[in-house]
Amino acid sequence: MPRWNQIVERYLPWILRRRREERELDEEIRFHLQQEQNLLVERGQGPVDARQAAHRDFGNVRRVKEVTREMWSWTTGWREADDSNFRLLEFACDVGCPACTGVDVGAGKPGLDCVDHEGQVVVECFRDLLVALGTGPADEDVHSAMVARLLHCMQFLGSLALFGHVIEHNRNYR
Amino acid sequence: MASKESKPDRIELLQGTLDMMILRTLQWGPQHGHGIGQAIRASSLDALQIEHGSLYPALHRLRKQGWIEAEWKITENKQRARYYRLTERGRKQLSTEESRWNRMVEAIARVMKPASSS
Repeated sequence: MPRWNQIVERYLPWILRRRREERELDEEIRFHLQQEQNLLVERGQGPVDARQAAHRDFGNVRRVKEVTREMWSWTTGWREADDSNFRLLEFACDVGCPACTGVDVGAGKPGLDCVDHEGQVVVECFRDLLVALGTGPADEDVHSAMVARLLHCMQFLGSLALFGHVIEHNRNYR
Repeated sequence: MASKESKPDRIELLQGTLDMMILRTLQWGPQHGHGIGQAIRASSLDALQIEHGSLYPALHRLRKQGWIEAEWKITENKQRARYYRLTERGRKQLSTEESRWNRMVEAIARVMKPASSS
């Protein structure tokens, strides 16, 4: 049985990537419906009618999302990874994953773009934040945002450690 | 966009042609999903019956094949939108699809009007 850190290394990039894709697809569809609604209102329809017409013309949103997900090349692997360890890790990610918080700590720090760092995503973010805080950001708001994000990182890493304990426990139990 | 029920003269899209039309639309520059839908609708003079939701699986499939690329940008209305643009591979694919399409149209025309081809 793989150790918990191997499981994290294997599945974490998928979880983060899927969440980002899901979030972006939601935003994309929301934008589409809003644009269509605005267009219909400009052409003289009432807001309620325009909203209904935009949805009707778009089709079933849930179905569109399902079919779109099928196009993501990594969904096959995602399904294969449908085991209890994976679910546990996903649960751990629900506890304050910094890549999912959307907290913007300011421009000029590409290392903070956690989502694109595969595997080491949170650890690197955590380290970058510590370094940035150590050098002292000039802006107070940026500093507050960094501290908030650091807390999210710590929470996430803590939940990963908890996840590790559960995996170890399962292994010993078997 | 008017409902499909109010446009009985709209034509159902032939299977496989949506990808080609998306690639063709992106030939004129990057565009977001809604813009692509609008462009197809306008250039077909509102004759094609496309459920706009069907654009998104197609866009993600084309992206997976490397024929288009996506990038988040800010629109004129200061909204964030995902813009798609044609890649070099996409241009080649569009050329292939267009040739295939023209051959098919000619072949069907010959079948439908055999006398005029002789």
